[in-house]
Amino acid sequence: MASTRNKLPIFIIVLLIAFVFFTPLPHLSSPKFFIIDLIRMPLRLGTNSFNDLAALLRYRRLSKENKLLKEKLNFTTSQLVQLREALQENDRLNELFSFRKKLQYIVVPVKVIGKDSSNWTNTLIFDKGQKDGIAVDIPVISSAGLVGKIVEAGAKSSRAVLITDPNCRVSVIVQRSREEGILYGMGRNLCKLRYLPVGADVKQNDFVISSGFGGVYPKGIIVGAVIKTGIEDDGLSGYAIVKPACELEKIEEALCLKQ
Amino acid sequence: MRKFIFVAILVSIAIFQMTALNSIRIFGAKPEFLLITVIFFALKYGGRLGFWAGIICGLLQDSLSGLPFGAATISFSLCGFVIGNFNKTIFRESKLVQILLVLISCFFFYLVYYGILNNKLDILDFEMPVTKMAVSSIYTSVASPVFILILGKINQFLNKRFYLYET
Repeated sequence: MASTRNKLPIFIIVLLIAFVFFTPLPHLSSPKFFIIDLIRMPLRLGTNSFNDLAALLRYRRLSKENKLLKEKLNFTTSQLVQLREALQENDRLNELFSFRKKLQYIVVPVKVIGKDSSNWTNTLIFDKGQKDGIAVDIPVISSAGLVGKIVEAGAKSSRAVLITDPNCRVSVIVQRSREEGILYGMGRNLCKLRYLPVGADVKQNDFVISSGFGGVYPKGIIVGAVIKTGIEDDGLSGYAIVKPACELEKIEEALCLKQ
Repeated sequence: MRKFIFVAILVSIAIFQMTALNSIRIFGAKPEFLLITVIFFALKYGGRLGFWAGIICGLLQDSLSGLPFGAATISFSLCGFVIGNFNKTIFRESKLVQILLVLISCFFFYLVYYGILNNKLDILDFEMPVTKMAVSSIYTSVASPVFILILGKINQFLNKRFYLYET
């Protein structure tokens, strides 16, 4: 027989179990953002302080990296000029054949204020929400490539699932051979491109881009590069292991694409 | 004031779990520091405080992760309540006991998580990664004595200053 002191906890636990098991999943996420909004300020402060501290500890490596990046930037700038030239030529040709199709996106820059606290999912919490026009299923990109998509949006914050999350699926094509497949997150900063035909023309270092099928991700966004290929255990289809183009574990800012 | 400080400690631990603990991952797993905190309070102060620590830590864990809401709140509060009610009958100072309790609680948390996932299977579908479950549980339990020691020191310091848990 439970004592009076123990009755309240038992009552709350039973109530919680009933609430969780009988509430549909979309309604379950609303209390999350109430709590995130409550601790938004300490969360942002904590994340920023830790990032600063980690940067201080990595000072020597960062200094070297900075030098290297400056050299790369100079090289990239010269390449950019050439690419602009090619882009202008491409635009002219597109206009000529009336194929030009402009995708109009409004870009919302967001800052990462928190990373996933669990071992099971790879998600990020952003500092902007529905008030800034963020909604569910909006794709998230960075300068390096596809990051993921928004899965939950609160008033002032939102959560994005990364392409490396086991729950995330992206329809993609291999840029060189145009082989199509579905990209699954594997956790640990890698993805698996599945449902490739056996003997598909996919090689190491091939770039993988979004196919635009499904309507969530626009076509042509770089997703990553193939690092390994193989055939599934059942022998019916092939697969490729893809390393995401952007370093998802170190991401601090991203862009949300509003159509 | 005491309640506010108690919640502030738990929020700080949740932020620590989201930031610093990401840098000590092994095979993609990091220790479940919030769960260790719940067990610490349960062992030290009994079922009632263990339960409330479980509720707060669970709500924080659920909110700050992509897990379905409720998985951590249910399992943490249950662990805190049950362990706390037996804190006088077990040898709580033993490191082995602490490791075992954390290991069992961790497995219980993951099982509740998958129970809820299966309940909501219409939108989420992935196989139960037993290896990752094992790695996370073992890592959390092995690391628990160190975390419990640190928590003990912090708790001792705060208790002297604010008489936090006096009844």
